[in-house]
Amino acid sequence: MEHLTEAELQAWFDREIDPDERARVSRHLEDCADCRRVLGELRSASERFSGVMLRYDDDLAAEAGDRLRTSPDVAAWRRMEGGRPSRVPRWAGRAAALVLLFGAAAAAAMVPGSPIRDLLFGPPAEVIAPAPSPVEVLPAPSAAVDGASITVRPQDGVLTVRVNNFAPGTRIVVSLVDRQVAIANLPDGARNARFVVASGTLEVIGAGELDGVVRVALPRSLKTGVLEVDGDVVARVSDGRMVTLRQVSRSGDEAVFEVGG
Amino acid sequence: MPPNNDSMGALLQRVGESVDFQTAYRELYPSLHRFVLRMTGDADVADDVVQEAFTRLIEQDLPLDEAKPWLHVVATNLVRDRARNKQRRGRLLEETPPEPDRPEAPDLRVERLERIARVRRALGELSERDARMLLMREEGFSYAEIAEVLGVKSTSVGALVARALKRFVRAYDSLEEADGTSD
Repeated sequence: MEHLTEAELQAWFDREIDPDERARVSRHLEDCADCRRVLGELRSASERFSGVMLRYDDDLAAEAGDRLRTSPDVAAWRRMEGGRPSRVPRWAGRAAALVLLFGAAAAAAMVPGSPIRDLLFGPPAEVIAPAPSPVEVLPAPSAAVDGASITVRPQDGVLTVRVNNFAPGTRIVVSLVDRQVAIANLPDGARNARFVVASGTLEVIGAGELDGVVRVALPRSLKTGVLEVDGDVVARVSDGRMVTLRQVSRSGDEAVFEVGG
Repeated sequence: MPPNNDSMGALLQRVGESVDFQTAYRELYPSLHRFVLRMTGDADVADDVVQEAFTRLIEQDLPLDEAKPWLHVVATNLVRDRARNKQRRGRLLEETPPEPDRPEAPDLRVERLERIARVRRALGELSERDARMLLMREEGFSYAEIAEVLGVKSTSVGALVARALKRFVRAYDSLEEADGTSD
């Protein structure tokens, strides 16, 4: 058997090959332990580099202290513009309290199998719930409805999403989106899964026996965003980017994790 | 030097300030700043270089997708220019960062400075092209964009990335082992 090259494996890992080629590499990987091992090494190096860079960023920021400016100084820019109102969305002036939005089940059904951003930029019907008490438990719909979802506003730019107790093999697809709220979608047929919302946190709890796809969309604007799967931090968001660990795959602003993986 | 408000305002009036530029400024600033900060390890240099790059962008008429690689090329060249200056070179590569405003345990800061130095040395083990390639990949550049900016074939990027990643990790881990630490 002719093995795959590192170039092919790296491009497959980075999703930089066309679909036909990707399928060919995937088929080979299913049958070739040697290439899976090499892929594991490439993935490990990639994750190591990302982890080191994340720490490096934190260290540089700590050293620079208040001098570090990691986002554009829009206020200064407006001054340069002669005081003309900025076109920056004034989301920050909106209600700061955590607002709970419970998405309609039809939202995901509109886009089965499509990328999460397609879903997010679609027109899901949402119901604005009152600000929750410190902890609020929201069961999934009693009927297993495709795409049961919840929408949560971060607390002062901070949000931790915990995905717990889904069956091994359940895929967690997390993406960065240009919205100000986070959205989580349950797998199809999630009769007993539930959401738990508290200030700055969202917990998505499975019933243990279910697999499928949990979709989590995190606002790019988060100051600090964390995704945990069964207690392990697998993704972190800050400064508009996402650093991931132990992902099954990663493509730009979207990463896929697997429970038990 | 960052442009003062007058010069920026004059430029805007002259070229006719566009929404595209505002969009580019808002959307591309964080990534470009992080890229330059990682390259130089110096927040002041990153501020200056990024501001200067955006000032130059005003005089271009580029769509957003072209502005992103263009800015990275300009910023890299600006960093190079500064590195050529002898007075700046020492600061860019070796300067001890300034004292933080908040007091903290000395050993924590020593560890942090050691980690920063370790990353800088590990990046220094790579060619400039490979370091830029890895940092651009971290910022989400596609292979095609990386190839265009670095002047390599897009079909070569995968192999170059794989090799550079392994080289960086090997260098970093060796330094860590030599320092007797681990993240």
